[in-house]
Amino acid sequence: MNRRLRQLALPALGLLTLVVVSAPGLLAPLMQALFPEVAEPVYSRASVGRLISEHLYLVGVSSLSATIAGLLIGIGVTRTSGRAFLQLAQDATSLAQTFPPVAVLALAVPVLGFGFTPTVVALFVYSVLPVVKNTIAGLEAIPANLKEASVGMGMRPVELLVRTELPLAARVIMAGVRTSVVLNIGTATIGATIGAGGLGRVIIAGLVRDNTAWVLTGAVAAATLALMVDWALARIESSFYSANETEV
Amino acid sequence: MIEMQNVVKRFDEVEALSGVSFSVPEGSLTVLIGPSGCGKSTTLRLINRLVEPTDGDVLLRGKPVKSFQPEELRRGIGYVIQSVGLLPHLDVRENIGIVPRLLKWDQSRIHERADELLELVGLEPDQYRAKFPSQLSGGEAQRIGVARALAADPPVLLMDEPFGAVDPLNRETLQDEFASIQKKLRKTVVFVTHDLDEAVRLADEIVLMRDGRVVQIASPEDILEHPANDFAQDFVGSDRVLKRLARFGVDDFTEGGSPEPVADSVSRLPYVATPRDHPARPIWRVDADGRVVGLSLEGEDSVYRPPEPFWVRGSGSLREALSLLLYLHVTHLAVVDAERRFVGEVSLAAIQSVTRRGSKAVEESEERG
Repeated sequence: MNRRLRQLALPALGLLTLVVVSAPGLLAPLMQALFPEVAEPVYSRASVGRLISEHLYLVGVSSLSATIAGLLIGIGVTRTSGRAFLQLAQDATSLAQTFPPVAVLALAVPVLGFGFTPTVVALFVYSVLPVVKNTIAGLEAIPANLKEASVGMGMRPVELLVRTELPLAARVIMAGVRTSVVLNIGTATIGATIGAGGLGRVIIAGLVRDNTAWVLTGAVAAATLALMVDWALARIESSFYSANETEV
Repeated sequence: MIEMQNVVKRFDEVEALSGVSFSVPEGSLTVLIGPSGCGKSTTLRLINRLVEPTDGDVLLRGKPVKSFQPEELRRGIGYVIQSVGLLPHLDVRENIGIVPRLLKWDQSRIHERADELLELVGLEPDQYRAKFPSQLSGGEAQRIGVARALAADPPVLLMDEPFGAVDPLNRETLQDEFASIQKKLRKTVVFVTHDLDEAVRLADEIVLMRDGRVVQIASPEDILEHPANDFAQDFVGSDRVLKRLARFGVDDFTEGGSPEPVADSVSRLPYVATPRDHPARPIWRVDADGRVVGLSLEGEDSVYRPPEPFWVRGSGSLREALSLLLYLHVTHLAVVDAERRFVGEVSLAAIQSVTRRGSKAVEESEERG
């Protein structure tokens, strides 16, 4: 009972926060109280609700494609035929993660211009990495005896992948996907600098205008979004496993 | 059923098998045994094409295994490995159903089959079918491993040290259970082990290997009685006479003996510490139900009730009987059934009739050496 309550507390609190930040009538007195020196406590050029949906769209497109691509790359380089590229993929993912996302964005602009597309590309490049990394780690960590038993029972390569490898690597892969999506929600705020919209707009505008209330609004909204998406992904994930299996 | 024809296997520069030939008759259990690195596991894996030979042929029912699709071939061959390899994300029933599912059996048939097999390996279906591998003991997991290998009723079973990871006590139980399953099902089994006792206990035929070659192919009795060379002799060990005795059942060496009922009630028999150190043949005393309760010695009237069991089960081995004979320091033991009812007696002389041939063989090989 207690556990159930705690499980529901997070999304309820998150939802409440999102409602507050997107309703100017609720947000204004709160921000006024927190930052009395700020003249214009609520961002008025676009509704925060719309910014949230822009943000989710940005993240959704880049994360979904990154997850699919990351999975395919991870699976590809762990097959016998693709094993030659395993080391390359591992090195590339480690190296690429050392680039700050702003740098990736800055590099994308001269090639792809301003707006939605370059931002999605930059976010894709950045968030494909944890997925690739964890897909490889998850698949490589499967004990050899389980694969041998599966092959020995007559599984074809695809059956081995679908029936044995992916289910066993699912946890590690999902952890990668979650990391990737959460990071992506934060990183996507930077997209506003090249005109991709999203919650970054409030934050950037707040920084430019020295309006702390706007920065806080955008940051809180983005953080809440990240927490709630992570929670939702965790729920989806745990519904795959049965109660007994989670004891492993 | 299975035939190895001069099989050679090289891994890069290393020759793992240098011309291995033997055949496994249908319905028999052949044990491949030898020290680690002798090539026994590689040999086993040639049969289901987990390893491909460099040279030579592996035949299954007269057809080279390379003429089969590897996956089709493997679905028709049960495979049990030492670490069991149950998939942790599937419950017991799903694990047993892996091959049937690959063969596209319908769900209800798979469920039926799983229950049937759980019963065969001595696990209550209601209690076990929904468990996950993490909830099973080593012995239980191993039983599921055997059930899974039998799921699609394959004629051939390959077992790679299947009981190697189980503690000795459970291992013996599993061996006995498997022996009785095999007696029922009569699969063609190739069984890899490095444990000679296990081989002696289970094998119809033993293939002794060393450094990628076959040293000797013989029945357990023969290999213990006539090891082919020094290596074989070392391998079977200096206690091979005892190991050989494990192959013989007490039942087959039981002689008549005529028990005499005890007149008095059993509890009033004089309690005697020992009939030890008495070489004479005792007269067995039984109660009204035919249960052995005591013994009398020739020329004495008293009925003794020894404090320790002085009987062996007919289903036991001569090795157990000998052990008890030596321990009690007597020449005869009563043989009883499961309810301890008198069946007959077994004597040291009867056991010696088995070992005498063995000891002659020892002398012969010593002369040769």
